This record gives sequence, structure tokens and C-alpha cells, in this order.
Amino acid sequence: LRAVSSRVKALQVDSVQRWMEDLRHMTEVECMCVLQAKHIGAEEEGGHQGELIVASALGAGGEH
Amino acid sequence: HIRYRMEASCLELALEGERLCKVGDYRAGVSFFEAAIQVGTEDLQVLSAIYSQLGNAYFHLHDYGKALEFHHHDLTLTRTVGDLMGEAKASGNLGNTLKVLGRFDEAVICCQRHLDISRDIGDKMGQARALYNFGNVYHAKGKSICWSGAEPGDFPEEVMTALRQAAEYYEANLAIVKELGDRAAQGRTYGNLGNTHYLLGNFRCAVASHEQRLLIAKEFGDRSAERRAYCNLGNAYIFLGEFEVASEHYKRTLQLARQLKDRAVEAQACYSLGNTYTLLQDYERAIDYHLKHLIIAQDLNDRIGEGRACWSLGNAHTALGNHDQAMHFAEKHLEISKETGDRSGELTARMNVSDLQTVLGLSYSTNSSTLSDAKETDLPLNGARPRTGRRHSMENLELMKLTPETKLNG
Repeated sequence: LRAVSSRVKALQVDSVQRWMEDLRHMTEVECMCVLQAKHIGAEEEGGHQGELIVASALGAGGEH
Repeated sequence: HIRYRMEASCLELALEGERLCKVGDYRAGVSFFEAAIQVGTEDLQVLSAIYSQLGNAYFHLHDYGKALEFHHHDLTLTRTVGDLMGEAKASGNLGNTLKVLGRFDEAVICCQRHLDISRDIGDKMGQARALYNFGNVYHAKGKSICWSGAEPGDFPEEVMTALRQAAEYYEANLAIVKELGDRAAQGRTYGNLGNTHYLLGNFRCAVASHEQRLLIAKEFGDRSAERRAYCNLGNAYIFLGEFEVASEHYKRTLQLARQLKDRAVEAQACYSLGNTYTLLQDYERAIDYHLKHLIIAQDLNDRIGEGRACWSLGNAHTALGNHDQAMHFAEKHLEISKETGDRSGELTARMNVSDLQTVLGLSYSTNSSTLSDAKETDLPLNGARPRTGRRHSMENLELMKLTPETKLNG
């Protein structure tokens, strides 16, 4: 990492440096919240046993 | 019979609430569930299901306080009646809610309970879910500390500890979902594990995980997961110093973003490509991609992104010696920085404009406020600047969209 940073510094492009600083925190996230459902009716759905996927709004820290 | 009719009406209301939530109308679903609770029932299984679904509906509506309330009711009820399976589910849902609220320590307790019960009753799938939730809690905990302004590449030990724990739980989850042959769950976990390694700075491990994620996304034909994997791979290769490889991954990201008609993501991919080609010192290509980014940013009315694009374009043109073009973009960068209140961007842009003026040997007749305190400098003109002030804002994140609701694979 240090080697890469110094190469970037050697290039001396401030806009790229700034991009890399932000990039270091950036992740494209999978679903961070899996809720489970309980069914009112007796019929349990097959397959995923009432698994609910929720795209996390906050929990993922608004990540990307 | 009166009792019978009362029971039926509670059940009917609840079933209607369930139906409405299934089709995504959570507002209306909530009303029916609340009405069902008003009527009341002696069937505690039904009541537990109502509490649970209400909690989930409120979660979907982003009313986490209410979600917490009802998942807590569900937990209390299941404990009272000794329904272990129900308690495990309630604990998991409560843990997720506490995590979103940033109450990580309490969330951990719920995850542990979820895990313990699942182990006790020999529920493998439940164990896997609990481990995944655990991983997510630690991941979110680590990130939440990161966001509070850590120096890049220099996360506090507390962050590293949380992220390492996340990685351990994801690994434990993987072992089980592999055993169960659940490929969709494996895909999700590989993605999160890859991101955890990335944040830890283990870029090789990140690549390995995201490669697996990519493979599974392709198996399912899940193009948006595929796009995420390519983007994460590109980012990891940047920090490995393999810019050529990174550019290939960003190109795939771009192709998929276009196929998926996601303009914001397309813009982000162009911006990444522009920066990557700058690192490769291929300034013509860099300009090409930064222009593409600029056009989309303008279309989307993203002034911050537009400012970034102008800054980058000014630097690239400077590198090529196109000083007139560079001046045009530096001035635009200055104008936008002032408009968006970006102080450090404004200072950078001022200095670039003043340097370029020196080079062009022109005395620009700009309004005095623009250049009033811009100093003449003898610095070589290389598009570079010592940093004049650090900002920890994450404004370009506004470019990025939250991961869209993931569809269940299969």
C-alpha cells in the first residue's frame, strides 16, 4: 500500500490522491440485513423458510 | 359462537396484513396488524407471528424504533411460552434492528442467543443465519467507527478488531452454507467477507473472496451482484498497484452499469476509469472517461461530481500541456467549489488557475473576488499541489447509490 501511495505521490496528481482516499472506504455491499418471517397461516413457505432480504438503509453505513 | 367469531376476525385481519406486506404495501399491512392486535387473540403462535411481522414491516418502513418495540414483544412472548424456535427468530430480528440503530453491543447479545438456540436445537440453517448476522453486526460496527473520520489507510485498532471479528464470523458462516450447498448464501457471504478484507487492507484476500462472489453471481445470472463484484475487484487491484487489471474490472463494471441502466453507477465507473488511466499515465484515455463522467454528472444535477470531473480534467489537460483547456476546467472547478462550499477544492482550484495564468502569461480580467488572494507561485506546473487542508467529507458518496434491494437468488 505504501508503495502504491508513493507512486501516486510521485505522479503528483492531487485529484487522484483524493479519489484514492475515498476509495479506501468504499465497498459495494451485499445485503446486510436478513430478517426472518413468521407466518400467520400454518403453511410455511418452502425454499427459504420465510427469509426476508432487506436492503439495508442505514445499517450498512450508507456504503457503496 | 361469539368467541369463535372474535378469533376469526383477528386472524382475518392478520392474514390481510400478511398479504399486504407480501405485495410490499407495508403501510396498509401495519394498519391491519395493529387492528388485529386490538381485537386480540388467545392463540399465542398467531400473536407471535403478528408481532414479528409488524416488526419486519416497520423495519421496511425504516421506523426502527417501532420495529424494535415489536420484535421485543415477540421475544418476550416466545420466552414466556418457551417457544425456542420462535425465540431464535425473534432474537435474530431484534439483533438486526439493534444493529441498524447502532446499538452494536446489544445486537451482539441477540446474535449470540440466536446462535446458541440454533445450536441447541440442531438447526444448521439457523446457525448459518446467526453467524451471518454476527458478521454483519461487527462489519457495521467497524464501518461506523471508520466513518467518524479516521485517516485513510490508518484505521483505529478498535475498527480493525471489529473487522477481524466480522471476518471470523463470515468464515464460520461459509463453512456451514457450503456444507448445506446454499450457493446464494455463499455469494452474499463472499461479498461481505471480501469487503471486510478490503477494509482491513488484506487486498489479496479481498480479491480471492470477490472472485468467488463473481463466480456465484454469474451462476445465478445476477447481473447487479456481478457488477458489484467487478467494482470491488477493481478497487482492490488499485491498492495492489495493478492498475491495468483494475481498469479491466472497471470496464466490466461500466458495461454492466449500462446494461442495468444505472446512470449514477455508470458515472462512478467512468470516474474510476479516468483516475485509473491517470495512474497509468494514459492522459488521453483519462480525459475521455472524465468527460463521460462529467456529462452524466451534469445530467444528474450532481454538482459535486461535476466539480470532481472538472478538477480531474484540469489536471489531465495540464499533464498534456493543453493549458487553455486546463484553464477552462480549473475555472469551472473553482466556480463549482465555491457554489458547493468546498473550501479545500476552492483553494486547490484558485492555485491551479493562478499557476495556469502564469504559464499562459495572460492577465485574466476576472472579477476581483476570484483571484484576490491567489498568490503567484514558482511551483512547477504539474497539476499537483501540497494539500491545503484535509476534509473528511464523503461527498462523492452521493454519487453512489445504496445497493438495491437484493433479490433472492433461485
